[in-house]
Amino acid sequence: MKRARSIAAIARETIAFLAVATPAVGAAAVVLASSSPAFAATPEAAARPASFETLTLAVSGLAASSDASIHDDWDPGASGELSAWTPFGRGFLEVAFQPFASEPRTSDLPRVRTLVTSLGWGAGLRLPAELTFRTSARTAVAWMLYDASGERAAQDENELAFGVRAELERRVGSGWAAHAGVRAVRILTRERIDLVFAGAGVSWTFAAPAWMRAVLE
Amino acid sequence: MSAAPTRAALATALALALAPGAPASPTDAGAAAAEASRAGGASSVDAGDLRRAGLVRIGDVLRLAETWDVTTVEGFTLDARPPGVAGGAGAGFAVFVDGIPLDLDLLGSTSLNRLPLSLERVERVTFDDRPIVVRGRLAPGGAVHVTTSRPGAAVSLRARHVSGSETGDPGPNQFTERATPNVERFGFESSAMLGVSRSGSPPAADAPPTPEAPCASRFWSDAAFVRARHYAGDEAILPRWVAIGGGDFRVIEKEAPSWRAGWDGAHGEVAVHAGASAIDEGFFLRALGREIPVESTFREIGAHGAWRPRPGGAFTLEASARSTTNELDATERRGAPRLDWRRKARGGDVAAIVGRGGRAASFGARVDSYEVHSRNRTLRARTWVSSGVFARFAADVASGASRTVDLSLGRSRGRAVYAVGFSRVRAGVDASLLAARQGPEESAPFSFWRERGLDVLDEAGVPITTRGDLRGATLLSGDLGVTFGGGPAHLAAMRPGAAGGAHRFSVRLGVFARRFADLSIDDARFVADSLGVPGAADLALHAEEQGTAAGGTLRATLRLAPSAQVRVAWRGQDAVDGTALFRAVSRSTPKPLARAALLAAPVRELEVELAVRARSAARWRAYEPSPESLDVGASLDGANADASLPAAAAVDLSFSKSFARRRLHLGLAFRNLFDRPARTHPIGEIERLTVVVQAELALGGE
Repeated sequence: MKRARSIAAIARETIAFLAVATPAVGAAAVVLASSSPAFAATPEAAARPASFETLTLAVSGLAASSDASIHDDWDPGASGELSAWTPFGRGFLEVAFQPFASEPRTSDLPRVRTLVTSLGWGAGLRLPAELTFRTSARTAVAWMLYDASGERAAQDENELAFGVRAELERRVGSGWAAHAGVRAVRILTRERIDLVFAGAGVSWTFAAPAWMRAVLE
Repeated sequence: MSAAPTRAALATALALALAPGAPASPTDAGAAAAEASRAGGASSVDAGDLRRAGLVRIGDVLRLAETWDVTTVEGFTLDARPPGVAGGAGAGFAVFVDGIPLDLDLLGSTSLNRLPLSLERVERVTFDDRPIVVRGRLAPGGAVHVTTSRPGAAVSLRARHVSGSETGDPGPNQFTERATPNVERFGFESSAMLGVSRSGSPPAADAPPTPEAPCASRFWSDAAFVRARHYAGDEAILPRWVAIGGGDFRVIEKEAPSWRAGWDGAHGEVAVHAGASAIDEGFFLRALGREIPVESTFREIGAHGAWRPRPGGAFTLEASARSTTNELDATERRGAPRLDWRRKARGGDVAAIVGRGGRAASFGARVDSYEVHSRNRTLRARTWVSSGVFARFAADVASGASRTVDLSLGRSRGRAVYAVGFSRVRAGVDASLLAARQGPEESAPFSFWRERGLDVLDEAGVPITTRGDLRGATLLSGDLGVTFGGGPAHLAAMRPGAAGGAHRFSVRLGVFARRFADLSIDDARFVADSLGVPGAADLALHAEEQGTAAGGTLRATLRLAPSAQVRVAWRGQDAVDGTALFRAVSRSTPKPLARAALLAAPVRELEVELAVRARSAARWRAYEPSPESLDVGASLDGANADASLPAAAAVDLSFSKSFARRRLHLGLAFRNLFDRPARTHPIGEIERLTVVVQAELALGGE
């Protein structure tokens, strides 16, 4: 009887595992399998630049959303972002640097200066009127510097973060484009820090240098 | 019959005759052995798998043994149990590097991190699930075979740095009432290897290599250094470590230099190797139930060679010799109890191999001597010799099927030991049987040395009782498997990005049973004090325990598209028979555990893996709940420190990209992506979301 119960327990736990694993792996399989050559052979895909063929540099001005705060203790102010992206597979690969400073709301807290360095992958969707909707998911490291305050010395710390970017982009000239959109970042401290920024900027796209393509490929 | 298939069959026969401990041509023979044994239920991972998995240290390769139960206390040393082996019952796994057995055992603990080896030198790792016999030596708990690469270019340089970080630092919250303890980075490893290689002139400059004159002679050598650090900063273990070893007892540091040199020629090869590792760590003494601060050192030196009177001929003579020293020294850190332990093992073997017409036979003899020192104690039987003869017969290798028979007879400390094994692979069905008897110093090292004067627990005030007469364990094991779709070659062809592959899937269903008798099992009760430091309230060493563990395994690979495949592995096992204690300790091993992974190569030189791993609940008999441990558990964000570990599942995501014609490799891996706290040992670390970043530079070919 004990053995029968044991076998039943194994069966139940296995079914539970498969119930969780199958949809997760299956959904990911559909997404990733769509990157296969069969999908890439569509006319739309053929118009895409090859991986690492171009390089885009962008600068953006950003402001934290009106209700943004770090747990009601700090107030993130204006921010900016320098980023670069290049075509990669069915989307693009990007790196970004976003510094901002958070002013304390009480005098006993230090000012927190933060640099979020991100590596992301995303995709663009062509729209009418030379518009492109561009979105990406980012993995980041938030480098935090706590200014000296009172008798407390300056400190630094870093933590993993995730983020997303969503922008609307319009061509304004040969290689030039203007964009506006939002960014959200979650810093994985024990009490999570969630921040949303909105802003606009310009970008310049040019053919990637041969040496850079050689290295990346 | 053409000559080529005959030679191919002969090469495979030789590999089977030697496998898996074939020093004649470690890379080729190791791969052949891996393929041959894989049909019997073993699995292997290659360098690409290792890079993609986000591993930090060599010991982490055990995380890739899909059907093995892997547990850890502090995250540095991993304990692994292949199918059929239960915690606390029976010996651990054996370790072979390029076919050379390396003695890593320390009172029943086998830590791969003691190897002076870094991951960038590893070409393949094969996990042998079954008890096996290698050159007359029994490995009852399966084996891990590590195959390394050798320098091929005139000068080659490899360097690697990998760093991991756990999330959950307080951030600016540390200045507020929401302050939480800082979470240390869980570690890094940096390594570098410089290799040289010089080829001689071929027998005839304009003649291509042939089996009779396969290649020019070649000299090669490499030297490497590894430095690693791990922080036992997890809040679940840090207070205990500080209570045991003081405020600075949280950093595990390892340094490991190594050197190798060899010469390959048409008539054979010879190679020498030497290495050492020194680790400042907390050694988890299972019988005590907690860590002891020690300096742990490992040294090894050895040589092996093969001689073929006629290149490509049927006869090969091989010999190898090695010396290893394992040491634990608690005096440097003033650890308590004062564990000082040095075990020196010297061994050698010689074998003659004859292969002809798809058949091969090897005959050999081995001798191993052991010497144990403990400065603070008087030990009895400090030295002993184990010796024996062995033979292996392999047949039918030409048809892709094989039959092998292993015989090993010997004496260890005057007692007879033996191992008899038989395996058969044919038409997708593999079967193996093995019967063996070990010496007590091999199957129950702690009990054996406790009987002979190792009184560290008595010194720590732990009352010990012994029940039954200590004997060497006997083992009877059987495995049966059926493979559908395709074997190892097809699995390799199904890798994303690989061309061809006749089959879209490969599935192996297997069942196994292990019958143990005269086992020695520690039965203890560990009660945590107010600092969460467990202490052994009493310890009973039960000899003459017996039991049977049985279960099944499933391994499946499905090729979804040329750039994507899915792998699933499952293992279920239970104690189906045996004494109450055997059944009780078996419950610390999850009955089912499984892993499912999607591997894709959406872009050239980029691999992505999404994996789900799961393990069922386990019950650790030794760790009884106490008010203190429950308090500790209650403070651990829902995880508990009592004897029951709940079922757990986690999702891992990893990216691996090569640049500049594979000279530069970058990897990014997330473990436990959804940050679900889980632990594998009742007083072990709590795994959370972790990110691992690695960079590897390879200049010069292999």
